[in-house]
Amino acid sequence: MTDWLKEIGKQLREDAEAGERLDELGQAVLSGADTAELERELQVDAEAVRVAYEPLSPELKARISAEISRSLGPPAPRAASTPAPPRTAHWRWAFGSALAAAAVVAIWLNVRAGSQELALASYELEVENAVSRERSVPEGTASEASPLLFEPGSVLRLVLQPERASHGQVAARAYLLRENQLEELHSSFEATEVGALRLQAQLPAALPENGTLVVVIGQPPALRDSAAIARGSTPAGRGWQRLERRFASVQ
Amino acid sequence: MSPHPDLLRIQSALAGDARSVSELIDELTPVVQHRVARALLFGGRGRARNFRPEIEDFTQDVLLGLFADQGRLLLSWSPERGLSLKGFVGLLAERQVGATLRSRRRSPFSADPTEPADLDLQPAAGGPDASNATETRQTLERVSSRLRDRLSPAGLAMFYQLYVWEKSPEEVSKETGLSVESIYQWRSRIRKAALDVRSELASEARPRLRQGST
Repeated sequence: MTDWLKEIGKQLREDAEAGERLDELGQAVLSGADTAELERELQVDAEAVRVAYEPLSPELKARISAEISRSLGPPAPRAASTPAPPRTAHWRWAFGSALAAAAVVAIWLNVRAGSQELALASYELEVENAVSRERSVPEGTASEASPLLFEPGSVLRLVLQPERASHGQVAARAYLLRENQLEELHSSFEATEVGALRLQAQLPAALPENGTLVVVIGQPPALRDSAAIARGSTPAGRGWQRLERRFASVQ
Repeated sequence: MSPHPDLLRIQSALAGDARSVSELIDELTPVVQHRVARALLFGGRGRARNFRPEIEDFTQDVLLGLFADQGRLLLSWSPERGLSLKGFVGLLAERQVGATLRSRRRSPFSADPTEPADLDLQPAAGGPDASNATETRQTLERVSSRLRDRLSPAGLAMFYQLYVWEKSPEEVSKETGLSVESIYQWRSRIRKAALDVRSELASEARPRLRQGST
């Protein structure tokens, strides 16, 4: 078993190495003698290879880009940036102890999407770098819990865990909300095969003294309106779910 | 740790930002085109003729496929798994073109149908005979193709790390940040998938061989 899988790997490695030599031939970076030798070795016609590797025209690339943009639909509205008060230096000692605590705060939502085909599993939000370890209460009462403490300019680590395995495609966006001012955080996420998402969100260096962290998770088409969803207070809709947690800046 | 810039760009493109789409196309087109060219040239299609139109069609198909279903394939890339975005897209391009070419060869309406090779496969569930069976290159290629078609994008990337680039689970763990146990689980899943493929090919070969002998 191991031997023939290794043999398959070896074949693919040899193919990849031959492919790299073909790339060199196609990109015409070799001398005449090397070209002739490689042509013989790989049993290809150098002129056919050169034509194959000629870069696609800018017009064709523009057409491909346009077709992809059409298939993706109109851009999602972006939220306006929120100016924040200047930070002070007093947060440092507090944040040190906050990180040491490595608290996990979770919000459970027991909501369902409206239609069967767009049903989204209920998601739990965990904020890994928060101050105190507490299991949060259901949506609606979460605001009564203590605010999380965030460090300005740090990267938030969030985990969105479905209550059951979910195999549909989901994405998430994170926002900061303060008095109707919404700021989308630069974020990236990684999805697991069971539908959980690990999200990393960059907090701005100028973080409001307090506000609400809002995470919108859902099927990508539903997220086109994610900014409007984040501004609202509805916990879930067709193919999306809104989770929130109050925060204070450690400054 | 800041989010990887390629991930940010993918997400921005999938949210409908046209500039991000163009940037990704500019960046990914060469790698896709090169993998398409490799497949066509090594498949014998481009040795003696101009197959430029085929190159352009395949490259376009692969790029559109990456963004289909709201970018399902692109979103399955994770920088922590040890492959660059270009390397990952290259693997997917190679797989897609290979699968299309194979399906054309299998088609009775194809211009150059290829007879399936005789298979020298032993039942995968067997004992030492199966594990020690000598495999022909052609047979291994068939197993390899079907296995790569079957693996998820993440599984494909892991397969290359473990079996093509021959990295140890410990090395892969170090590079990806996944636990060593998790890498061993991946290896076990890949092996199981390979055994399944091998069994299938063997059972598909048996009726054909019987038919040929009567």
